Amino acid sequence: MNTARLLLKNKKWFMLLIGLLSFLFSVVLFVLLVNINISKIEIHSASKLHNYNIYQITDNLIGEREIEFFKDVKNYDILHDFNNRVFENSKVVFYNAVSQPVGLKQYPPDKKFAAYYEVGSNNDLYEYDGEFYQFSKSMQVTKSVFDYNVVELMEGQPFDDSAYVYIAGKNEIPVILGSDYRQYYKLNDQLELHYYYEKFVGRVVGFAKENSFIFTNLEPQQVLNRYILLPSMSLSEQPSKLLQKTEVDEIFFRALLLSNMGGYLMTNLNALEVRKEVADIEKVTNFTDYQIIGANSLSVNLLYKMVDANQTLIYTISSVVFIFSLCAFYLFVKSFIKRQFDTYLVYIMSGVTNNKIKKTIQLEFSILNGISIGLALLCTVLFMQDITLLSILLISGFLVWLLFHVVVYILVNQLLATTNIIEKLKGD
Amino acid sequence: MKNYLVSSRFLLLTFLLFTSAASLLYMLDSVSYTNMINNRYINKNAVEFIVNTEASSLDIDLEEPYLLMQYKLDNPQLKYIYFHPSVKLPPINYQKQPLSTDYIITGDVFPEEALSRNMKSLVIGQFDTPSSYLNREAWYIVMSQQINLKNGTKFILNVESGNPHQLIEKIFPNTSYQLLENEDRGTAILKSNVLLNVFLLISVLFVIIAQAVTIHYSIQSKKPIVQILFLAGGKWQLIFLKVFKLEFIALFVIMLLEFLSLKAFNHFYTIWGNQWYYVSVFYILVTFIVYFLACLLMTKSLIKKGVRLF
Amino acid sequence: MIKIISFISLDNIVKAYNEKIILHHINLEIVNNQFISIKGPSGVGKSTLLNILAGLEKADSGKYILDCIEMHAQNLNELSEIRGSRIGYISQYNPMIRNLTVRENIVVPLLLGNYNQKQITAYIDELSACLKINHLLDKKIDKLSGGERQRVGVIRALIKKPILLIADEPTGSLDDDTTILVFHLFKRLSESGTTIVMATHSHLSSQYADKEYRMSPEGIFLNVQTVGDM
Repeated sequence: MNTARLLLKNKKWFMLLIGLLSFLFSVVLFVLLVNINISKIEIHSASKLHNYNIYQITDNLIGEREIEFFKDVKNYDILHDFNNRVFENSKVVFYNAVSQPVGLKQYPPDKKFAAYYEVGSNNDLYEYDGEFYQFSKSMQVTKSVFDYNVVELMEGQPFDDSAYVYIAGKNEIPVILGSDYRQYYKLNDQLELHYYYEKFVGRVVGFAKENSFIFTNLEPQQVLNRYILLPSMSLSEQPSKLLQKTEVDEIFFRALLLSNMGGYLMTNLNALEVRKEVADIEKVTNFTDYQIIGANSLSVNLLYKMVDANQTLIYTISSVVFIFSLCAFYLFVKSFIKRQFDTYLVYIMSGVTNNKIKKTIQLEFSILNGISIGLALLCTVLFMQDITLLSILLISGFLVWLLFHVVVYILVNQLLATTNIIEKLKGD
Repeated sequence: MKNYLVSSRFLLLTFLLFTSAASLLYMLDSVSYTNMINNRYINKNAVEFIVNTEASSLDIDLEEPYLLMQYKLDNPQLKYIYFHPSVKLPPINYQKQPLSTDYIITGDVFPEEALSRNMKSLVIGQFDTPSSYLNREAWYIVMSQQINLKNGTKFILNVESGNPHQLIEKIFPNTSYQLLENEDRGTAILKSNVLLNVFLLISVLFVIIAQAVTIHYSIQSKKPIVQILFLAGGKWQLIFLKVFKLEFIALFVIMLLEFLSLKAFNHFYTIWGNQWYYVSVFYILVTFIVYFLACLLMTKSLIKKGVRLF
Repeated sequence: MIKIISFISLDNIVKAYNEKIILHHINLEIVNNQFISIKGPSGVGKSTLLNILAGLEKADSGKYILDCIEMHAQNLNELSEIRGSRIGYISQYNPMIRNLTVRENIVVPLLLGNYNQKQITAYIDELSACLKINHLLDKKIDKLSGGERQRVGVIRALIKKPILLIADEPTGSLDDDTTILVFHLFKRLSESGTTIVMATHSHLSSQYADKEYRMSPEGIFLNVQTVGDM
């Protein structure tokens, strides 16, 4: 009789139950591993922000001063140059996530996408150039935002490098939509946007996973579900030249330059050093209308503490549950082997050696656990929809299998010691 | 002899499994509660709405547990709080004993200068929530149960269970309001936290299966005695009673002990809604009933099968 | 002329399983205090007949009267109650409770009623001495051999002093010497008022049984040789 047939014939319900326990135990372990990994990524991301000194850089161009500054087209170039140099400075990371409502034509029927929905405003619709737009929540982000936050896409691709550059004649901007938009749009759909007083086509290149969030100074966790993400664009050449080449209104460049400027400088430098660093750029570019202030570190600290507390919670709960599950598994396998004794005696009487029986039981469990662990692995991967951890899961799956094998080996050798078997044959 | 009728191993295992199930359910609830604290003390069932009314004040006359937050759209950090005395407030370090009149609790990083002089004198404590958005808020605890709409028209209603919309109707009868779809913040939206709940649910399933296996083994071990008594002759009711009476009594005592310890634990470590407690009690009762029915079924089916079994 | 009233009366008993007729119009009369042995090839329905006699199962048709009780008219639960008060049953299947001692296994049937502990202890000692297992009474049942366990089963069936003892292969795993001990005990019991119906393959039974029947697919017949012995 082959082992597989024995497996099925021989108390199949018990075997199924043990298989189920082994399956659940493996799922618990795999979920635990995946979760520890996720938690590590979260804490790593939060700690990157947490470990930096964060400064906020803003312009002083307010009211009349702004009008005066932008009267001279050369000043566009100066500001552009200043922004570029700050952006390219290797000692600071320029991080910008600006919440800036954008006009959206053919907006979804759900009001929650409207820019001021949370404050109960009903004046989100406006007319421009004979078309109706809705002020919709939008976030302009630099590439560093993706580097310093865990924004995974459920579909599509992140912005490529060209997305962050505005070149003359560009009228299409890639956009990544929050998960709530998914029921209204699909990949490669084209949204008609009214962005900084210009009409653009927003091509949907991706959808962020539900509850993706990014850090902003105002909101440690700016949830992106209802947002349109736009790349924060720098200009490919001096604005003075772009103004000559295109029909785009200068107000677009003005808004772009100003929004690009207001961001965070994340650095290991102290306040004096970072001011000196920017002062050097100031000297070269001749742009002086800015100020650097220490950013509110409370938000990032709050985020870090929260993620850290969550990780502690995960580790504590997971350890307790894991130990409990392992003990339960041990007890049930032990009980199972004991209850199968009569069957083993039948083998003995049929001329099978004790060693062979032990090996058969081990084989039974190895096959059963192998199947259960394999299924658990498959379910975990399917549930998580993530194969990046596959190698770790495979290794840990093998280790679980080995652990079970050792547990069964010890139990079998303990319970089926030759003396035990002989005693049973005599009396039971 | 009596020892055989009551398996101490089964009872111990049952007690452990009851405790494990209750612990897992408590963990599930405490994760939700931690998430609630980190999410500005907004529960996952809470509703957010803006009231449109001409009235200046409204009475709250509710018997159901609730916690109502009121704030101005332009100042969401200062919240006016109305609550039923039975609901749990977030952890607070009181510098003075809470008064029967209105008082204020502030977060660590709430700028006190944002409060008027009169309000400052009402501050009697700080939130004891080191990693929560509550640190950025101040709560003005209103004792009068009368909502002054000058303090804001935006509300968030927390309920322990059930449908919060019915409560809105009760608090704001004949008043139009705009429901807002709220979004969570805090630990609740961390993927690892969501997965932790999945992890705990799978563990609960694990315990349920372990419980089923335990019951199965226990019933299997009782089969020979039922068979011997059947062969020896006697009504099935009598056989059932003789075989299982003592075990049921022991199990009942264990249940009572478990209930008492859960009650005591719930008293000292109470969390919002205490759903875990009710679910645990329900689980234990269902397990007991299932065990009772399984024993009954086993006895009856053994006797019904009668001699064919042998 | 004195009419002997039968203690057991089977009239046209029919029993089938899965449409296969096992017992085909069985008629049998047994008077009080007799030791009856039934022989026959395996699968002929001996155990089924004994089960019906013990009230463990019901015939599909026919009448069964035991000590003036219409057994065929009772439901299984009532039959079980009658068995508890009147019948002892030794089965081929001999369930024992692991972890209990021999003595504890013997007294399990007494759970269902109130009995005088002293008398019971004395009776167990007496029976176990008869069957030569008195030295094993305080041992765990797991430690006993198959034959020893079978003798425990015999004592357990007798513990409530039944007026009818049904024994299905009670000596199947016993050697001849021990088989004689069991038959000797049965003989003594029948002399003191217990009616015994036993199915057996043992060649020794004819020396002890008052009557020996032979069972075949055609029915149950009195073995003429033993009648002569009587």
